[in-house]
Amino acid sequence: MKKSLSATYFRFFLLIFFSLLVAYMFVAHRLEELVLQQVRSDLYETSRMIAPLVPPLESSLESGSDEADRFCKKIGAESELRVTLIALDGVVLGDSDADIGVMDLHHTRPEVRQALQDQVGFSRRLSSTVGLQFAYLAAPLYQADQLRGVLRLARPIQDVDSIFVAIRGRIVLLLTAILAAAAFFAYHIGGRIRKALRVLEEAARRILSGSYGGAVHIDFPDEAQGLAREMTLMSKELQRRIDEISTGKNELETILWSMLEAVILLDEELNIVRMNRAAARLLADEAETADTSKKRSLISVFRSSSLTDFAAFVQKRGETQESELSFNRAGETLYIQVHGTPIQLRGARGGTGSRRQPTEGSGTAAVLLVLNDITEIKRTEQMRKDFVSNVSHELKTPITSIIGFVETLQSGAVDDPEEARNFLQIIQRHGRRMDGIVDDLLSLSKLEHQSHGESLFQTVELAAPLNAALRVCRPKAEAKRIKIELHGDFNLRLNIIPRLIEQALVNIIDNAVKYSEEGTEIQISVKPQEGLAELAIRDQGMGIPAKELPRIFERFYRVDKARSRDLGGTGLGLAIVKHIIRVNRADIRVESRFGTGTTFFITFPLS
Amino acid sequence: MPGRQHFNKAMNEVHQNVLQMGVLVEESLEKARRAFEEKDLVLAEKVISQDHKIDEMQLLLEDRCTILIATEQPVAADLRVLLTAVKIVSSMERMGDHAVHLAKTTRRTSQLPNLDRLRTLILPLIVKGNDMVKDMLTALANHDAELARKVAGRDDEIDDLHRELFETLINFQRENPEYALQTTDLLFLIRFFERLCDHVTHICEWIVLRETGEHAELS
Repeated sequence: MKKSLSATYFRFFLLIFFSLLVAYMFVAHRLEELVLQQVRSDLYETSRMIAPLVPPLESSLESGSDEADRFCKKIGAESELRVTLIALDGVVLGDSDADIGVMDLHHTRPEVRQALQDQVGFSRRLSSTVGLQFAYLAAPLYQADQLRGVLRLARPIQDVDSIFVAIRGRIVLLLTAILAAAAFFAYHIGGRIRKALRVLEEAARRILSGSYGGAVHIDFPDEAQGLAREMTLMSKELQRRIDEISTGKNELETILWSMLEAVILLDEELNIVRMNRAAARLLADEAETADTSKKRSLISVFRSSSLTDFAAFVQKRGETQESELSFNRAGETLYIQVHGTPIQLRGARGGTGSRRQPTEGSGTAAVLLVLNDITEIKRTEQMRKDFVSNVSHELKTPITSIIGFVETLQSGAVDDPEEARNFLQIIQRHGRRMDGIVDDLLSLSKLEHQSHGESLFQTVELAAPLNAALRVCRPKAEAKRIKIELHGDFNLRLNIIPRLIEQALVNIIDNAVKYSEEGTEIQISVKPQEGLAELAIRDQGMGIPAKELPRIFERFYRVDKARSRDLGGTGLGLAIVKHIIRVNRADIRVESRFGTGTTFFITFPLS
Repeated sequence: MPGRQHFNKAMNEVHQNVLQMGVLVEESLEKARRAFEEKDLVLAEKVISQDHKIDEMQLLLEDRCTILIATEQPVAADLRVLLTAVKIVSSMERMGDHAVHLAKTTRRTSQLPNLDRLRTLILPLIVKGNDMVKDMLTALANHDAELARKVAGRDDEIDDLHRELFETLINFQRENPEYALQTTDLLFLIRFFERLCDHVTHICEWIVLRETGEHAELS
């Protein structure tokens, strides 16, 4: 059954309609009864008055005179009633309106039958004689204390009916008016209640859609105003609490987002629920894969079997675990330290949003992974290890040679002047080499630890340190018939430490000369651009393989170990260059193609 | 419908396990590539010794798919997913074997500097092959039939590269008969990588079949 307001309204309307209808029918019936009662009593009174006047029926019956008929006609004319006299056997003795000759026996008429049983008969029906609605009253007629016949009076009730119709019309009009008024008020009030409900509904929908804090106002009915007030309060309270929660959430979000550690939250099936920016950075395709709107599994996003195995392990053990693993990002290997903690994602409070059914039996937990990129640390660690072993190795090699040759000299070679001079030269060379290494180490250490005050900085033309460097390198280059060409304007003024820049340039140009074939060219050019000057030193040497490039500035790192040492390098030249460039607030980068040559670019800020 | 839920969970697990196996293969190939490029014999040995993981995964997955087909009697899309999973894992297992081949070739050839030039020439083929594997896995993970078609389209490039390398290697072999054995190794290697890319293409076809129900001839 419909329970809407309008359906209810319609039902009440029907109820009112039917009660009014019943009331109307009752009143109408009563009214009709009353009128008939009145007619009856009128007719009865008249019959009582007329009865004594009726001529003796016995005699007229016997004599066959028409005395009774004449009497009827006379009375009938005077009273506008129809008067009939009927003998006991039903023979009509006289009638005011009709010819008695043609009238049938009347003892079967209901009112006559009643009268013959000594009662006053009354009935209402269509007269077969006259063809009108008549009210009939029949009274037993006593003459000389003997029942002699029946006196029947009749009058048409057409006129009574017309009065009755008029009254009925008025009643119907009145009832319709009441009904209409009821309907109108019901509709009006119903409409206002509906409006109030709509206002409440609208307010509830606003709250649902997330716009809180709006006031709800209702004029009618008073009962709903309380509800509206409560809703306003509720909405404001919700606004306040949500503000509170979202502030807290934003804070947490910001913290999470700006953390350097990658944080990944996984659900029970190891799908990524969310991750922070640092986690997205671990992925090659940051923007695409960081999209967590779709449910995606850890394996499909991070593509690491070891990370997935680790997460599954944490889940299985149910306690915090730690591990180190390597991770491939677009060809480079990252080392990651990872902590995994099992957590219950859906709170024990049985939170509102617990859509997931707890899986039976398996108490699997969600997992929070925190990843630390330790590639740099690993690398530094490796570099330190390499450094120590390199230093020992680099110093050990000449010392071994020196001791070896000294021992040879001791065991007799000293007596052969030719041999001895030769050996002493070798010993000297190795001694110088060690000296060179120690010098380089010292200058590196100085560069690293000393703060170079502003006092050492001078504003000079780039040409000054460059020419000084070229003076050092030219003789070696000429020996290999290598041409050094200069392009561009070297009179740019730079704020640098000239002595250090000179050393850096010497190291770079010296390398270029060392690793170039005879008869090639070295080109040095300078290009000013937007407050910077870019110095390029390009050789046509053997070049550096791409995968070695990132490491060439490391101490003792050699691309080709044997060859470098043969050429008398300490393995520290480029490390020193890097530090000098840093101290001078400049920048260095290198481009190289294996087999075609190497270019070093140094970018200075213009003074 | 708890039965259905259970089945869906199992289906998702199959998908995740196939991905996991794919990642294992990808990692194995990548390690083998690095070992080849950097002459890292320790890494090459690792690739060879870890291959059994991939083989075990294949058996596990084939069993699971068979059991699911037998007990759940899946129809339409679900059946397609399971059948293609079986095919995909068998191709993946072969790809894992190719990673082992690469590692073994590294073991046999890396100590010969005269082969360095050939190795540098072969490297792009390996890198391209590994890139195809990587993108194929992305298509598999993301149910991306479009990407699968694109990846399969790259097979032609590989074929051309393979032909070129074949010529170069044969010429080298003719000129340096003392390296006949190693050159043959390298010839096999490029052949295997050409096969690897065919496997990738097949898997791409099955991805398209799984996602769209169409039999695509992508090679």
